[in-house]
Amino acid sequence: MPQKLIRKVTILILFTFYQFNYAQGLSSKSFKSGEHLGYQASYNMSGVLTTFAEVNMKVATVKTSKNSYLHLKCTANTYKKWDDFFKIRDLYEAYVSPYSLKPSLYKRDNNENGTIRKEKYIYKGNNIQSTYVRGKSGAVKANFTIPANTRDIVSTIYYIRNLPIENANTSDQKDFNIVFDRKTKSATLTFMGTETVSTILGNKKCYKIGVSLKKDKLLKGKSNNIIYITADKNKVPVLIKFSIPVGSGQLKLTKANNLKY
Amino acid sequence: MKLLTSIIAVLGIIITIAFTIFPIGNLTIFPALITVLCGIILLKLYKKEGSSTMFPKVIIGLAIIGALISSGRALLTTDKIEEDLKFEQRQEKSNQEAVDELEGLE
Repeated sequence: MPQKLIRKVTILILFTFYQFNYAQGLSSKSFKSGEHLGYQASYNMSGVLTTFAEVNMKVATVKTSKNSYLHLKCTANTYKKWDDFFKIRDLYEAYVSPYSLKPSLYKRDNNENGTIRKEKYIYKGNNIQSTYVRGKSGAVKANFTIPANTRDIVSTIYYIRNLPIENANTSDQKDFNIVFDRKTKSATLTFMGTETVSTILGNKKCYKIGVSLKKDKLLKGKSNNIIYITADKNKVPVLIKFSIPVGSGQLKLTKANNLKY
Repeated sequence: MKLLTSIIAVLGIIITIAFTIFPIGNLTIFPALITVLCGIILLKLYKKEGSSTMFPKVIIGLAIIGALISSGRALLTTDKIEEDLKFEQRQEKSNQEAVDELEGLE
């Protein structure tokens, strides 16, 4: 009898511990399903910022017959006033594990002024099964290998939000890999300290993080590409400044619904 | 002096008109301002010479109209995205396809 009780108690303790750890995995995330962040994209023209598009980032839960995934969706729409000149309807999606944020599927469906570009990555360990469509040409399928812990651009954004930035010291760096356009790119995050930024959420103390790509013309120089993330539990990217070969601009938070904390 | 000012004024008015057509907003003010300044200089030069002041007057007028149209549009129009049913359908279709893909992976 006592043996049975001990076994039951042990199972209960282990189960509780497992549940606790499981819940910890979830509660450590800085976002939840249902979160919606909206941004206004501006482009720098002769020193004057001109608004041109709205970017929306949404998190939803997607269930299959066996599993549950987080659907991280990013859309970019040009404003009505720009549609007659240059119409953008871009869709970027990642389906990730709700616990590890490890991506299983990445999809990109771009329509930029009629130019179609589609991409699909199916993650299989360190391999990716990709399907690529550009313009009116048919789908091109290719398999390629990626280094461990390589993520697509969408899941990288949410991955950055879950890094323990609060423990970082100024000038601390973290290297990671991004897969984009069927190529793996090495990137570096540099913690540049904190700064107070005026946002729709009020004046917020933010972590200032520099992003740069190694051996790439795109996103060159850590001080040109900066993400300001709120220094709270939500870690909301409130301002993103970017500099690309054809110019510079910024994304400013205009909408923040269903934040976790 | 007169030729250089005329060239700058003509370039300024071309940029002003182009910026008025594109929804660039307040940026039109800069070329319009340069054009108006050049127009005033040209107006004084033409008056001094006693020749017709039609050209600088037209330049100044067009620059002011361009700046007013752009500023008015920037003030009156808000940044809105158009409801795009096709794009929404694309997103729904993509999500459904993704669920099928994920089912296939399991």
